[in-house]
Amino acid sequence: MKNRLKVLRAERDWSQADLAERIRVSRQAVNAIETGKHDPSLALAFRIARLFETHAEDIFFADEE
Amino acid sequence: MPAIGKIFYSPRTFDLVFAGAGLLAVFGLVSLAGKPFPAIEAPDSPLLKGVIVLAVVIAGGAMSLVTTRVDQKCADDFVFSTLTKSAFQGFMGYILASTLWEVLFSHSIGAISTPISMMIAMGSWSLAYLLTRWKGTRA
Repeated sequence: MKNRLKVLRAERDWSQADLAERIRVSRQAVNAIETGKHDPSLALAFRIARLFETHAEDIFFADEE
Repeated sequence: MPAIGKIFYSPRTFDLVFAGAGLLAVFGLVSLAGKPFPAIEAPDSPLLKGVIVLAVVIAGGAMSLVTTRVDQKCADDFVFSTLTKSAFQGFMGYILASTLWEVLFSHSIGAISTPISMMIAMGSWSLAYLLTRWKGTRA
């Protein structure tokens, strides 16, 4: 699964630690998601989407898309 | 989550724990490999021993169910996935290593004792954790 997390974070000028604090995960978790090393759970994906005031499918999409 | 829980369930903490466990496993394997261990004597009551073993397995399973639930509640998404994936890989590694030893070396070099088995399990989980942290939970 690919994602636009890094772009959305950069647009708000947040560090990985800032974003991690906002979605209540570790900084390593944010880094792993951004680099494609970890796919977040549905609950976390929805939490991220809520933070960026958008839909989960606008942030996360399948590899082949 | 309280601050203490956040520190305890941080990736850094588990990195340190598994680094320590891995080193301990290597040290244990090297130091225990050549040590003789007494043979297991036949119990007076095989049935009773069988029942006790079964009870211990059930008690261990129940404890792991509770502790895993606590881990899932306290650890974040990434930490919990890393722990569970590496636990599964570590367990499979332990089973395969034990089987390979039994098939290839048991008759010529000798069987492995319970403490060595535990070191293999610990080392296998630590190695799997290292690989999962390096390659990610998707690898």
